Amino acid sequence: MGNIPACPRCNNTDTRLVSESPISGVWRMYGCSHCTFLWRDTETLEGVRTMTEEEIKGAVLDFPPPSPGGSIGGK
Amino acid sequence: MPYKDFRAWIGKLEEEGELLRVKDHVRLEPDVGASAQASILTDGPGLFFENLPGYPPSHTLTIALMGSLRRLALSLDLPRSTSRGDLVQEMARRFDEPLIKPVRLSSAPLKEEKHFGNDVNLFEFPLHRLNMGDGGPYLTKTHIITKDPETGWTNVAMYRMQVKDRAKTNVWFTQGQHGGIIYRKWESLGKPMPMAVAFGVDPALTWMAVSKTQPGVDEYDMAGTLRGEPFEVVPAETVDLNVPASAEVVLEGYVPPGIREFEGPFGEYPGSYSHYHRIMVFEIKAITHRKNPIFDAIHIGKVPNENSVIFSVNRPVADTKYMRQRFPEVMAVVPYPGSAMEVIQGNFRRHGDARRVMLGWFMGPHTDNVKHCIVVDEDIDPYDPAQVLWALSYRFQADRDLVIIPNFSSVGFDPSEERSGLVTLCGFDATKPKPPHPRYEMIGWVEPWKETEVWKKRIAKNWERRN
Repeated sequence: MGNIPACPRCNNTDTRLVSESPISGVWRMYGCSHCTFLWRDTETLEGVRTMTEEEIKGAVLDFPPPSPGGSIGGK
Repeated sequence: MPYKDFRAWIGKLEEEGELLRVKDHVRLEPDVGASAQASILTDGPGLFFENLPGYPPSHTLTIALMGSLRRLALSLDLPRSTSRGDLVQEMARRFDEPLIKPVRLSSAPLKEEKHFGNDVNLFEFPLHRLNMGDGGPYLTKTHIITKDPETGWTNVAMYRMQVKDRAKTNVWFTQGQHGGIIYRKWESLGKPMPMAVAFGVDPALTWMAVSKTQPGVDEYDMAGTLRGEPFEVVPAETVDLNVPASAEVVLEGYVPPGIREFEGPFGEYPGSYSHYHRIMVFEIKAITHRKNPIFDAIHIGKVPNENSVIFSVNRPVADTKYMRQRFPEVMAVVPYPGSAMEVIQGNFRRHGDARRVMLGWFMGPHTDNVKHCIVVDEDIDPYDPAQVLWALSYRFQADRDLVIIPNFSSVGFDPSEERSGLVTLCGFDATKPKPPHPRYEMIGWVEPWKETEVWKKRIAKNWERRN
């Protein structure tokens, strides 16, 4: 399977293989379990902006769950 | 004749020279997004990709099918030369017809292939990063089907969905939109909301998914009204919902209560990337699709985009109807494509009536997405920016005719918002002074000689002869 690279957006190494191309060996789709970014190994990713921890934590919650007990997952 | 299914619609586009089949090998990134943007910018054709990397020839992709006024006309079974104004009038006329209930079939080609549980994989379809800064692949041309747990009202709407895994996405609901209202009810009950998402459908349903309708009115009924025949549905496999029989692909699953996960950014309809958000998630339990499924996408990103082309027709339909019901003097409500601005044309009798209408507009449902309105008189063509700008120049004084309402709730995509979800509404009263305005008697407006029309014809005739 080979090594799975760190996330190109947040640089976290908690990354995984999400899917391979239906015709085997053409591309792989990777995912970051920290910032939830998905990318294909054939992409140049020229327009992807790097993210900071503050930005991840500061994501807008504009439709909050109704009860304070509701889980607000970060992943 | 309405379209039987998505393939009949594709066939019509091909017959009318409005579809380009791309047989060359293309890359999913950046070619899908780049070609769709190019098509919209050049008023070009819809695109059908037949040779995608990593996919067998049986799995294809379409985009920008509703990216021109010509194709919007064809989607309503009208001549491709139909003007924007005529499209708006025809759609408004159809929406005033009685509702037509859907017909429920027991089977459909949609059920030719079924995947459940661990066999579910969204990457079976040619997903792609549409804009270079998007947080991942998105499902864009979604027809999201949900049902009110109290009344049974079925809503169909188009919201963005970021793909997170083989069987999981985010789904964008806002509190004021119908999908959000229904989800809030399920969440208050502490129950997961059943949801289905259709791709590749009769365009009548796409019109309903992007249009503002009255809450409580089933959008399958409205789709029937728009196409003039009942819309056909079939039962979903794993959730208590009816799904479009004409669809190429349907996802089925649940939106659990109390869960919000990181999402974004995404190149949204204003032509800017939206903020990072924490929003709802959709867990997919089943996928059904036709053999050789055609996956359909929409172009959203730098303006003009496919979204702005569609809104240039369906917005005036909904907004004119809404305003005329409340203010009979309103003649038309016309958005400027790709902008957050609308022009309200009216036959106002008293000074101040325009202001009253403006305040009514501020309270309308459209202010989720638009924030500026210019009110003009009956002698200004709202479709002609030159005439509207003239009225804004010579029938408007900023200290007197500008109305500003700050801190108004919005959908949250406007990049100029100081705080996400709050906009400032602004109204320009560019109407003539009328009684009892003190300057009413002083001001005269130059009207053309009545012989001008005769002269238009004489000049055209002589000019044509000379050339």
